[in-house]
Amino acid sequence: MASAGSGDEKAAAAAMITLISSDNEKFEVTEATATLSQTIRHMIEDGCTDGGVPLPNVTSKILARVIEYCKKHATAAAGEEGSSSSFSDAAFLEVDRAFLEELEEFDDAFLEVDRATLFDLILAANYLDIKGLLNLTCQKVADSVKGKTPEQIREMYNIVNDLTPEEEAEIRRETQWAFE
Amino acid sequence: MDCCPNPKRSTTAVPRLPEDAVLEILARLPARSVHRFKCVSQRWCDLIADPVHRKRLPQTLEGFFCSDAEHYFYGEFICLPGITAPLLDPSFSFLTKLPGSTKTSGSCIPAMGSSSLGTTQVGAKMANLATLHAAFYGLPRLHGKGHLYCMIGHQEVQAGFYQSGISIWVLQDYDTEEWVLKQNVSFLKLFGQSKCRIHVDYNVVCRIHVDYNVVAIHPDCNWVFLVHHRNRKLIAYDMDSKKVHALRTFRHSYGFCTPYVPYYSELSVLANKH
Repeated sequence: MASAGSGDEKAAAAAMITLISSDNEKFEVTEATATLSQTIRHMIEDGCTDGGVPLPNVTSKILARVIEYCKKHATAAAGEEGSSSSFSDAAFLEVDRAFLEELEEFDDAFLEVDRATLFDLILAANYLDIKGLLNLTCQKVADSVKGKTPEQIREMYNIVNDLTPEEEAEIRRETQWAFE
Repeated sequence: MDCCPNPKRSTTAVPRLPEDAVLEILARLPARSVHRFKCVSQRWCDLIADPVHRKRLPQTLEGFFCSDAEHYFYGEFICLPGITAPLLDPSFSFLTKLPGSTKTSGSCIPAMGSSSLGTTQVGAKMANLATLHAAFYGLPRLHGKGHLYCMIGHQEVQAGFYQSGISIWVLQDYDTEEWVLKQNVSFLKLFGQSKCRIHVDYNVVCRIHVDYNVVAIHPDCNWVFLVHHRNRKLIAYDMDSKKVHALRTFRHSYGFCTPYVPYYSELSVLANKH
């Protein structure tokens, strides 16, 4: 990492990557945005991104949202790095705080989606290995299911109960404390 | 394998999440929710029960290591109702090699890895348990469900010192230091005896023995665990349903109980060996 010169960094920042969704839509993004995904970062490192990166598991609708997230978070990260040299410590902290607040607002607004989209975003974040996005979306689901009953979970996520009544009774008996 | 389509509902609404994503979600829930969700479906049950996933999922109180007062070491594990006994040897037989011995048999260490004492200084911790325990008893405050609890005995002076029950207080707000009385419960209800004796040892300043001990509070539900010395019973009191569950009657006199919450962390002492 230390071996990368500043000239290379500039070139990398300007480099564009083409992402191709499952429905064949092409998205041009900067390398800084794309490398928030560990999966794509590895592909770049292996030099196999020429001619675009096909993402057969992600639709254009979802990919657009994922890119929106990555752009915002990549900009925030770059902004923090850039500001550290040109501001005094106090000013830097102030800017830092403003960045975080803005990012939090962005994340909140970003999560205002229906359940199916949220799940699609989790699938994409999992596949593309974007830690921040996976954390954000899974936390949102966790918050929505906390305190719910198994029946409510089945209803919410359209899961068919394939346990026999005996099996279910047995589990309920074993975990009685969790139901009280 | 997938969910059967329900004609009344839109089946396209929610895609099926891969195992890893479901685990990511479960890992962010309290232990209570995770245990409850075993009932959702066979897949969820298998996922939650799989030992491979233990490290990622939240753990909770499984029981107590116990000992009679006559025996210094733990010899018994008391499971909470509905918990399958954990895979560990409650006799801690390898401890006979302590103290001072650094040659602990290799097979013991992985067993300890699944215990709440899974640290590099397993031996030292275990040897210190008795001391730790003494300190623990001195504290009337216990943690449960992320709150600090305080138990206060109802004192009565009537031909000697007695307590007739306890008040359970909870620190509702850390910032305002607001303690809220959760409930009062009588010893008649808890132990079937209306009074617990207090022995004051006048030879030692502040040495007071009571006939019972508050052993623990369940970290995920409103259960208080108490031991009554006279009838040697360990009981669980459910603050919500106000029911008393008898867990165990000790053979001799009660020694001590140490709550056990599994801690499935990698032992750095093992990692360093490779």
